[in-house]
Amino acid sequence: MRLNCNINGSQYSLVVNSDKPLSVILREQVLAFAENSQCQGAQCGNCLVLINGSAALSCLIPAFKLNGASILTFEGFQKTRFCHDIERAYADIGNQPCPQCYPSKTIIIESILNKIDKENQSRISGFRIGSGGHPELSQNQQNDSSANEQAARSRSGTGSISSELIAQEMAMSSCQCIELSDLEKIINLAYKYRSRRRARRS
Amino acid sequence: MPEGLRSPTVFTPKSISEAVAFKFRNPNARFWAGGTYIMSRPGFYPNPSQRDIISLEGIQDLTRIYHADRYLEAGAMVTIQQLLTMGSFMFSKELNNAINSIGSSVIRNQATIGGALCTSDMRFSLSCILATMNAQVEIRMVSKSANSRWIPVSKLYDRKGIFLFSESALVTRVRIPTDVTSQYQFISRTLDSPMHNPSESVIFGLQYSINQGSIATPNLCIALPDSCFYMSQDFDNLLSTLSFPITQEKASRISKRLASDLKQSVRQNASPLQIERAARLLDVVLNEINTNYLAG
Repeated sequence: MRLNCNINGSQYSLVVNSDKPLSVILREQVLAFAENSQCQGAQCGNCLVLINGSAALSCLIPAFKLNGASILTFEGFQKTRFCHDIERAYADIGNQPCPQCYPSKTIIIESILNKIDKENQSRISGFRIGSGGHPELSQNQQNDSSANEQAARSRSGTGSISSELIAQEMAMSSCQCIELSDLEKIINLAYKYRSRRRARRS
Repeated sequence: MPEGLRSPTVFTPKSISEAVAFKFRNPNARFWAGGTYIMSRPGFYPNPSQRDIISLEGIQDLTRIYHADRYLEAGAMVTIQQLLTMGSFMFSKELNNAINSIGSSVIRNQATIGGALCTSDMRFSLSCILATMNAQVEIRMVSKSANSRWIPVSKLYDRKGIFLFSESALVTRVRIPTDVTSQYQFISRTLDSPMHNPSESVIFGLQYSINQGSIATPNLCIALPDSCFYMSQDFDNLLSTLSFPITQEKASRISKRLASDLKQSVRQNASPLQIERAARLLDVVLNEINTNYLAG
């Protein structure tokens, strides 16, 4: 099949098997992809990428689901200013993931930050889910509500991200090289930098 | 593309009847929901004998969630994360925790309810949780007439945990009762990861209520991911004869009975460790119920 997608900001048109995993496509057909996962679906967490802004394991995404998708690998993400926010937070806290899981943990942090952003956007647009629930929700509403709820939970209590949510998200990466409390601080700090830059720009 | 490797044809039906008709015409094609299980099997790619794919992603009816007074009805393509989100409004805390423990959120965003229920030879936490809650599924038979019917989740599998409708039906909707959460208590435990360590993992679910010192209408489900799916009316009856408080010896006797029942039910590849773990889990849960009863 012909696959048209955007990888790290460049448009690609590739001829691939329809069931070929994205991790293999990136390794074999998209050059300069230094992804270090060879697990072939064992969910080691090292092949995480952002697909349309959400973290996904590239070894579990077949080619036929990718037409028109925007894929960001860690190599592409590193060049964005969003990554610089996270790296700055690493430096300020004085702790960072080990080289083995650095890409996957950074991608997971970005995915958490995206969720918080989504929640804020839906709050601004006045979207709320009633506690009784609607009789029927469309797909988009369900996705929004998911982001809403996740982020709402993430901001429980003190207004910062809950360590419970972080632990859940980080469960993908089995490496325990960084303390949960440090990750919490890093995410809060990265979000602060991002919000500040947005405020400056607007 | 490796030589001799065929690219499977991907059908993208827009309705359930279209999907069933595709399957009827192409019996060798397989339904594709989230793909997390299929793609994590060893040797998935490259595989010269790859089957054609019927992608269910574009079917709107399978992605709906409907909330009635007494149940939550979710399409088979609703992701586990979406179920968790909706469930946070209407399920009990224990049930939410049980669903929350299924994989990481990256997996839950991709894995679907239907996919988790319909894996051919491996049982995951969701099957056990839904069977314990007496949830119902609608299955659409792959035949010319394409008739559908509602059956309990527990009837989807045999005692050895094999999915009975893998080629003959499509699971379209799941109906989860929500009116029982106030009357019943729900306990769920998962030891080890069913995905990463299926030969040692045990999934345990029990729904019950305490009425005048005895367990009323218990519903016990134990799944050993790659070897057994255990639900027994006889054993539930045995549990309902218990009147609390019970002694440690009695709890041990019941759990030993469970171990001997499991030994008769499992596939050959079940490890003694799993059976021992399942029995010990029941022992612990019975003692917990006993302690709670004594504490009033």
